[in-house]
Amino acid sequence: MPLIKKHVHIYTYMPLALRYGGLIGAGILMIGLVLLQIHPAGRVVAPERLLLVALYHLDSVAWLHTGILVLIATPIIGLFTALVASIFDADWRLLANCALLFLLLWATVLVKL
Amino acid sequence: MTIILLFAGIAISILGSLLGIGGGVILVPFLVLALHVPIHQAVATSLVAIIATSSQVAAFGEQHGFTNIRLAIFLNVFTIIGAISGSLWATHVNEKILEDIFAGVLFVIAGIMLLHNKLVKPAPPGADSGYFSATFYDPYEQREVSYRPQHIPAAFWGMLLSGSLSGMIGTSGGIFNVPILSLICRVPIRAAAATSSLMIGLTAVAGALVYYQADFIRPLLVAPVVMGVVIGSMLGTRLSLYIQSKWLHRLFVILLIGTAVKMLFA
Repeated sequence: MPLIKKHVHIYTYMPLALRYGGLIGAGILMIGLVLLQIHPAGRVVAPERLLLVALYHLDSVAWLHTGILVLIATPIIGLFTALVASIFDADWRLLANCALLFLLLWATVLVKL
Repeated sequence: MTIILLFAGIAISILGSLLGIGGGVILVPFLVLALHVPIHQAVATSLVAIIATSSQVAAFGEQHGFTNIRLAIFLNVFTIIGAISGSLWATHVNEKILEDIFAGVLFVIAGIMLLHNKLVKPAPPGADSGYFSATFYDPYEQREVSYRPQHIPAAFWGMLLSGSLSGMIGTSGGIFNVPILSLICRVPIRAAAATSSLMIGLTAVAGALVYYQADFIRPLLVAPVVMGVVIGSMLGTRLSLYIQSKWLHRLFVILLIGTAVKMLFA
C-alpha cells in the first residue's frame, strides 16, 4: 500500500503541529529577549513548576526557559499527532513505531544522570 | 553579547542553508573557538537550534508530500537510541575528548561534501508495493515520483551512528542521513532530504532532553542563537535561489579542515 499523502490524516495534522509549535516557541523566545532588554535582571528558574509564577511576573529568563521547553516539546507533539493519526488511518505498524519512540523518549526523561 | 549571538546565529544559518548542511557543524566550533563556550553547552545550544529549524523544514516537506513519514519514524528508533547513548556518554566525558571527536567528524564531513555529487545516486524505477513505498509530486520534474526504499536493515547501523554523533557533538546528522537514505535505501534525493529533516528534529530532542537534565542548556545563550538561526534559515532559503554555491562549497571544505585542525590542537 503506497503512501498517498493527501488522503491520510498524518500528512495533514503532523506538519501543523510542527509549524505552529516552532512558531509559538520562537515567539515566546522573542518576548523573552525583549523582556531581557527591558529588565536585564532575569534569573534562572528551577524547578519548572515555578515557571508559571515567574512568567506572570514577566521574568525574562523564565520566558526564555519556557520558549526552549516549547521548542523541545514541538517534535514530541508532532509525534503524538502521528500516533493519533495512525489510529484514524488504521496503520498499526506506524502506531507501534510511534509508541516505541515515545517509550524511548520517556526513558530519556526518566534517566537520572 | 545577546546581539552578537543573534547575528552569529543569523550568519551561521544563512551559510548552512547556502551549503545545504545543518548549522551545528558551524555553530559548535564558533561557540567553542570564538566565544570560548564550554563544548557541552555549545552542543546543547546546537541541538535546540536544530529542533527549531527542523520543525519548520519538516512541516514544509510533509505538507508537500516529500517526506516519507513511515520510513522516518521507523528509522528514528535507531537514531534516537544512538542519540540517547551518545549524549549520555558525552555528558560524562572530558571536554577535550569531545573536541577531538568533533574535529574527526569535521574531516569526515569535509570528505562527504567533496564527494557529495558522487554519493547521491538517482533512485531506481518506482515500485508500487511495500509498506514503506511512497509517491510524491516533484514540482521541478513536473511528474509523480514513486519509489520503494531498499536495504532498510542495512541503514540501521548508519542511523545508529548518525544519532550517536548528533547526541555527542550536536550536529544535525542530516549530512549522514541523506547519503544513507539516498545511497543505501535508494530514496529519491528530494524525499531523502525531507525525510531526514523530520528525523533530525526527533533525534535532537532525545539529545536535548539528556543535556537539559544535565543542566547544560543555558537560556541566555540558547535564546539569541536560536532566534538568529530561525531568522537566518528563512533568509538563507531565499538567498540559496540566487547564489551559486559551488565555490562556497570548496571554500567551506577548506574552512572545515582548518577548524578541525584548530580544535585538535587547541
